[in-house]
Amino acid sequence: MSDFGQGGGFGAPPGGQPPGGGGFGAPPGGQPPGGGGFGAPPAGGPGDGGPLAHIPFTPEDEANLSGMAKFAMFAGVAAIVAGLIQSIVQIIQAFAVGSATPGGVGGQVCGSIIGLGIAGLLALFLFKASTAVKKVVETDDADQENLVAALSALKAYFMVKGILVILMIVLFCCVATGVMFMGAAFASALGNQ
Amino acid sequence: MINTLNGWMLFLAIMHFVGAAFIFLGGCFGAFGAITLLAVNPLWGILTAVQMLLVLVLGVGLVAEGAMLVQARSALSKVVASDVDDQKFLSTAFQRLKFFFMLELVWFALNVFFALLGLVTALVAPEMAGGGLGGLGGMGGGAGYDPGGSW
Repeated sequence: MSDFGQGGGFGAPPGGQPPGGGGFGAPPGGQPPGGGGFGAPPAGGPGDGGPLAHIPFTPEDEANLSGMAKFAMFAGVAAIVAGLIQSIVQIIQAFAVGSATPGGVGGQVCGSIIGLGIAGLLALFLFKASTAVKKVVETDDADQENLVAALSALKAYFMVKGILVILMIVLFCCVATGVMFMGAAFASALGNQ
Repeated sequence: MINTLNGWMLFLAIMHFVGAAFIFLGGCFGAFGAITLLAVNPLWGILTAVQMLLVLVLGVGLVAEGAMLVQARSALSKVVASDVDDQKFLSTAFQRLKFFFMLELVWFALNVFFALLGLVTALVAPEMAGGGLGGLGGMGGGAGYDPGGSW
């Protein structure tokens, strides 16, 4: 499932090596006496192919991860709020000018509900990614699993957005083709008269 | 999994660049229109020019989002491809994603703004909203997709 675990992976952290313990990959500049590393992993060390319990990040890296988690959470909240406001507005619009719209009131309401559902789905993936990244920073028990969970949620988020883009392109092509055919038929009808 | 994520990120980045190209094209044509309009009606010409400027800013935003996605993708590719400095590359990827989500927040705010604008139009001038709902409703509506990627 994960691309981690193939190859060495996480190398030596900055700031020197504490004495003793196992270690994640070979530190640069040779092994200090007693073996380098970051203390013994609690379970499933890299030697036996298990997930890393603790991935050593510098404070700057942790700040980047925390910042991303924070803004992903904000974006998720904003997606829900924007979706909710848009749905309310669209329903009000549907009842205010429903008869004038092509889809009528039902179409507008359905569209707003679908839009809200999609916004909720995107927000869900963002919340998942944010929570997982926060766990990577704040805890030291299952960093690799949390990282995989975060990347998996991000993959789902970008996949949903990508599929939406594809659907919009297909819809646009259908509408453009329809307009061209209708225009040609209209022009032909005008020419015959 | 990271390769799949990278694939979708690249696809979205390309779509952002293509969208930005169309926006720049439209903005340039609109700017020519604004210049010709200036001679006929200075006020409308200035308003159109400001509108085109805002459209160009939207295009820049799309390019920035696409660039962030490309950089994040590049960093994640290095995590998979190499066995050194994985933390650094992950940190870079997440930093770029942070900027990406910051820009997403701006798109969401714009969505809300256009939705509220559509609501005001529908309530104040329903006949105008009915006629132009493809524009306002499409931008503000839940079923509408804006190039920024927010629904």
